[in-house]
Amino acid sequence: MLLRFMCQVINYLLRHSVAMNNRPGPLAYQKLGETNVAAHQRLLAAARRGDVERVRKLMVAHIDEAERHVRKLGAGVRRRFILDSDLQARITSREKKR
Amino acid sequence: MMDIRFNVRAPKRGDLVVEEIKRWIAERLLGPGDKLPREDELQTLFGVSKGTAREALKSLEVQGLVTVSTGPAGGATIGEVPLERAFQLLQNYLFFRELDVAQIYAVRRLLEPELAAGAVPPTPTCCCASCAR
Repeated sequence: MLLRFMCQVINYLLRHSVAMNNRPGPLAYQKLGETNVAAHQRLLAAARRGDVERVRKLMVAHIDEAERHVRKLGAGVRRRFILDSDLQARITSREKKR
Repeated sequence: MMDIRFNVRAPKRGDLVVEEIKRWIAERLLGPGDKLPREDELQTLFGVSKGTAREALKSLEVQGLVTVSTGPAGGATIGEVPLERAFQLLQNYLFFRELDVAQIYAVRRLLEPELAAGAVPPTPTCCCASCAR
């Protein structure tokens, strides 16, 4: 549970606190999407084979690749507060989806 | 004689009531969905004014531990702290700290491969002679 929570924190920071300074073109977005899909397909295949060590290595490679990509886009951490109104909007839209 | 002054502030009444309510929840092993006593009952229970009881409930609400509803059947209900609320508090902490993309990825590199490895379902063990070789 704790490891999952820590990973959620990291992903939350990436989603909400990291902003790109360079605006990527549609081609760059497409390339990123394709790279991500391919990485996750490799990960899933290794997980289905039960190859734990391979999953670990593929995940590190995926993270390295993602970092290289965001660095190319001039990523930086935005200083911001999460307001109660942001929070409410997110919780409400999630409840609507259910 | 040496003048030693300790910077100890007396806690506010509302904060003390918050602590008491938390103890009350823990001692009774209450969980999400359980109701807290009504505002007037809290006043009697802790011998505080209406304003102090309300302040305590508001504090618990901001901490994400209770949701407060109005109306005749309303009151404070205990709830699990939503993940978003935990992130919001974390963001408050990080706001005045130096954090960069490299640090986020460094921690991600340490944690996520372990999470992914832990999610791999165990391979079924086979007891046939050919597998044993």
